[in-house]
Amino acid sequence: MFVKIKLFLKSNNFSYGLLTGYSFPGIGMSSAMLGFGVYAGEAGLDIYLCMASLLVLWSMPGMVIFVSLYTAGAPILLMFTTILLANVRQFFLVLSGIKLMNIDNSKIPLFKKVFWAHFISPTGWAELIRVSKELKPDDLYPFFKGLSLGLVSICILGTYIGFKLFDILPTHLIAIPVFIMPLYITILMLRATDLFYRVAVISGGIIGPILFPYIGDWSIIISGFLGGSIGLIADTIQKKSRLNA
Amino acid sequence: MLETLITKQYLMPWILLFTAALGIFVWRFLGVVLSNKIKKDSNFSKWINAVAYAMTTGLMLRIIFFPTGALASTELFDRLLAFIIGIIAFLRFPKKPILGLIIGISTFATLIFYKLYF
Repeated sequence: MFVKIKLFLKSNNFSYGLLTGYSFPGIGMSSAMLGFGVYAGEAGLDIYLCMASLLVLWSMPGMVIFVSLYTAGAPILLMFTTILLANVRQFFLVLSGIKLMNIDNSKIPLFKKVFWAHFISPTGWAELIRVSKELKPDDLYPFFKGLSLGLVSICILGTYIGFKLFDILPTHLIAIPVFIMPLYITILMLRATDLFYRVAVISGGIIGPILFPYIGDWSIIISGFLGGSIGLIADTIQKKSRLNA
Repeated sequence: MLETLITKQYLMPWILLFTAALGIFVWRFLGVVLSNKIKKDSNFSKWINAVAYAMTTGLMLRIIFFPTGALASTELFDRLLAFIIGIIAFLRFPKKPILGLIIGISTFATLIFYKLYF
């Protein structure tokens, strides 16, 4: 019975996305949001502001910075600048995600594209990469809509639980589901088959943590630029050696 | 007008949230608008994808090495050991990635429970 329901849901791209949102990616992401709910509750945010920050920011670094600066009483300009600089990666994720879904040149209105682009997180983007091997490019957009709906709803639940139970949940136990996300996404990244992306993944994974103690969140951007460029160089060398062979 | 709004304390958190949202929106909007200016199979498009791959992996590894929130209450050794075991399991059985994930999480959970209760 369960297998039949699963097959039925997988036959429709939107519901396949929804189903994916409620499986491992959703569990991992909502666990991280549970941690955010705990953090926001401890910081003294009210539940409305906590939920609104989840929905309108939809970026963990952005949400954590918002809560930290809000509780520190930071001025508006500092809030804007810090969030702006810490979220450059959103540009690359959106650019890559929109190209993957093949909606860059479609007739979909700009506001709709911007609306769905809002939900392109590292988890959402990694799932797009994963299913791009099994779905046609045109099927990725409905898949992503379902995925986003699933992720948003499960993350709302995770944040709410974290917010309400922040004083009774033992942090060591919360850490177990939070661990799902980094491991799951790294595994998804390692599934890349092209040398170009494999080199980028390994370089980015090494450079990011090495630079972090020195330059903080900028390490993510630098690791992206360096990792992507090393991947490009490796690809060029491979092509040249194939031509020479 | 803005000054009146800012002086109303109950509105201040919402103004700050709006400002924060604007800081992220800028990048997402630029990503959407510039996406149709780049050819899908060009080297630049590939590079953008590779940057996203590298950034995402860098971010995930940063979470393992320098976590915030609940994960920060655990020890680096536990996180790293479980992570490496999970990745090795995945590399050993690449056609069943879920196996790597389950083995990694089980290892982490075992280490946490062992330290908590033994």
